[in-house]
Amino acid sequence: MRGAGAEQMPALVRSVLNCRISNNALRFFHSLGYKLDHELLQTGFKFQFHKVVPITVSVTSVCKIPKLHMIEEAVPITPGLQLVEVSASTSGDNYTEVAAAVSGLAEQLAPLLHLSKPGVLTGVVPTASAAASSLTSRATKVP
Amino acid sequence: MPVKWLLYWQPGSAGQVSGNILQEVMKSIESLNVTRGARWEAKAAQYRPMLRDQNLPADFARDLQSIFFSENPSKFFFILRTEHMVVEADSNVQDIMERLQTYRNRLTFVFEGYQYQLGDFNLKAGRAVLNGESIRGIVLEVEYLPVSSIEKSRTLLQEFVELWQDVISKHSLNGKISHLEPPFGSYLLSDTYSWQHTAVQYTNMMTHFLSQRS
Repeated sequence: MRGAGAEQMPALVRSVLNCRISNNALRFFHSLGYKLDHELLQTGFKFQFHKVVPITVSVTSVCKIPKLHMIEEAVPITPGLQLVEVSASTSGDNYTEVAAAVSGLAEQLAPLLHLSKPGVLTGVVPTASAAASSLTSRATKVP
Repeated sequence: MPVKWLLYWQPGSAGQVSGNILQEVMKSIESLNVTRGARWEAKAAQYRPMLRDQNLPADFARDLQSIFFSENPSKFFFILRTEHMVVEADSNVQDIMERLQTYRNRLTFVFEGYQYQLGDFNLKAGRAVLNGESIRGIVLEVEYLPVSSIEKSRTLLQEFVELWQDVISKHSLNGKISHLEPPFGSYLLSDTYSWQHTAVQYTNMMTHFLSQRS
């Protein structure tokens, strides 16, 4: 989605095509003339919420792979920092509602982290450390 | 998955394939105690690369083919003949290829006809039409339901084809059923039959028909 309407949306809206393919996909696309540009390893967790619509939150560490397919030698791109992504599927006629739901979840997470559209830098939330400590102590007190 | 053999009608000397011959072949099948089933269709295509810069060296496949089966609508198959590669994907891979804009459809072959059941065998008879215009061949498919092994079913299928040929001969048709031996080994496909084997057979048949004079 592009233009003024896209800029006013609280979340990035884009087309996604997911397609399963047999395990010779890399060789196939290479034969069609595509060249491998880079590969990344992303490890972490995914959480599923339901807030108006099903929402997925992933917390991952992104690693670069210095030698082709050698995932054992993967190195984190930002050591000590993780990538948090919030996403939800939508059709062409309800994306406004879904973007609002994603934005609503982002506001709930505001004491811990700032979530923004891709390309907009935010920095670390000043209250993050205190908020995380508070959550942790609440969790340990539960009988 | 049961083993399938894809066959074609080879006309006798000075003969040509036509819709009338297909009708006669179908009558010969229906003279057996068969149960007629639904129509079937398979769409094959051959592509050519879209070259954006003619001066750049060409380092990509020029023999991309694809096939889609109405019986298996969730899947789409690509074949690279020179690389002996068969790729199986969800059918929405066509949307991805459309957006990539790197290959364009050069020609389309539609295989279509009727299917029949005869005990442990499923039979198909149909025509192969190029670009919606000319009939380039008549295809026959025989599927042996109890067996998935290509080698174990070979003798039995060969005998069935010979019997089928005898039945057709009694209808005074000038020609014979021929089997185009598919190159499964070069595609590194296993002895256990699958939809990838079917994709190789049909695209191989398309290439065969294209190589014949119309």
